[in-house]
Amino acid sequence: MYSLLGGKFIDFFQEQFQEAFSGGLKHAVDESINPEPINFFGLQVNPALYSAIIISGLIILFAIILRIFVIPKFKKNPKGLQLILESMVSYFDRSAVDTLHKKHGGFVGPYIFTMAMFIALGTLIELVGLRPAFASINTCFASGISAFIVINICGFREKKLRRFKRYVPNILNLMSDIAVPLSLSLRLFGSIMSGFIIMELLYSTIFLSFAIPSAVAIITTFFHAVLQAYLFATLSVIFTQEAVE
Amino acid sequence: MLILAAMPLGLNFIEILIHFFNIVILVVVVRFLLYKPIKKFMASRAESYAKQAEDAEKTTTVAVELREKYELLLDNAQKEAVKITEDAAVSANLNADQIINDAKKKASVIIEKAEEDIKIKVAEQKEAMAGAISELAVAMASKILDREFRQKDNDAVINLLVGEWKKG
Repeated sequence: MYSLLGGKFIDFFQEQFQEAFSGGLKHAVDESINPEPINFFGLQVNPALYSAIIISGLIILFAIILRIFVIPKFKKNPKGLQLILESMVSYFDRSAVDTLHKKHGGFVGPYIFTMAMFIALGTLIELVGLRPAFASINTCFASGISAFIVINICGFREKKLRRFKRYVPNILNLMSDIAVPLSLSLRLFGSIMSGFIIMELLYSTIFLSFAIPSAVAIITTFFHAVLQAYLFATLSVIFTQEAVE
Repeated sequence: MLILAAMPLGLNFIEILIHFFNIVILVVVVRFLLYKPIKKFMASRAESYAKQAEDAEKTTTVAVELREKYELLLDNAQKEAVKITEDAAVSANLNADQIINDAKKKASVIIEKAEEDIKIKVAEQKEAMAGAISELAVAMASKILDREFRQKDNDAVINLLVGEWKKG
């Protein structure tokens, strides 16, 4: 009986290994990078767009609820949710204002606060079985472009048309400016996508899909979510600082 | 119809545009509904704490000034009290001397008066005594003249005179 069960168990693993290394893993990777497009008002889009819209909707709903029910009841001694919100706003505001002074900090602070929240939650949505919002190159490019616009708005506000002068003696400055959104986008995409692929690979084989994903998700999902949010916010501030100096 | 696989990594410009507008809307909403109100609340709280600190500093300054003022007043009062005590002591000494002097003067006047009275009394007594002696002499003479003088009578007269003298 034991040998019969043991034999079946070994056979099952052998089958899984054969399936995995004969195309199962490749299929999981392909599926992660190029998912089946879904319909969005007549457009065939990446499912990550839905995740991004869901997360944005939740953030907006959360903001409305907080604005109406929580913020008016804020107390002088912060506790619980108030303490978390104040700490977050304070952290992003301080990092923007300390680096860029009040003139640009007031503009960049809310942007990096929102983007950090969007990136973190857009990645953590993977935990409920949806595709991460940033596991799409389009979301990452949109984020990079938005950062590029913010950086240049601050640069032109500070230097006006003198900002163009930096391209005259050295055209490479233009390349480095264009590289900023690309670098932000591809770093974000590569990081989130790699974590997503690892998780998909784990889920694609039955013998790896028990217990192991919950441990690996700490690194590939939680860690990436927080780290990429922090990196995007910090790099946006640093690039803006370079633009205004 | 755009096909995802047509571009590398599913790059889609329409999607990028949708994501971009999504981000813009999100940033605007979060800024006005969450970020600014929280920041405003924190700024107003910081301002109120700064005002409280400023008020406390002002109160402390006023308290220090008042303390200095009261210390000065207390110091002056103590000096004044010492001065008053000293003045009182000097004045009391002066008064005491005056009183003693007056008392001495009064005493000397009384003594002088008493001495004068004594002198007067003595003079009066002397006069009275002289009068009594003369009367006694007259009485003695009348007694002597009335009968023959004897030793026994003589002693009786003397005893009589002395007795009257003692009575007088």
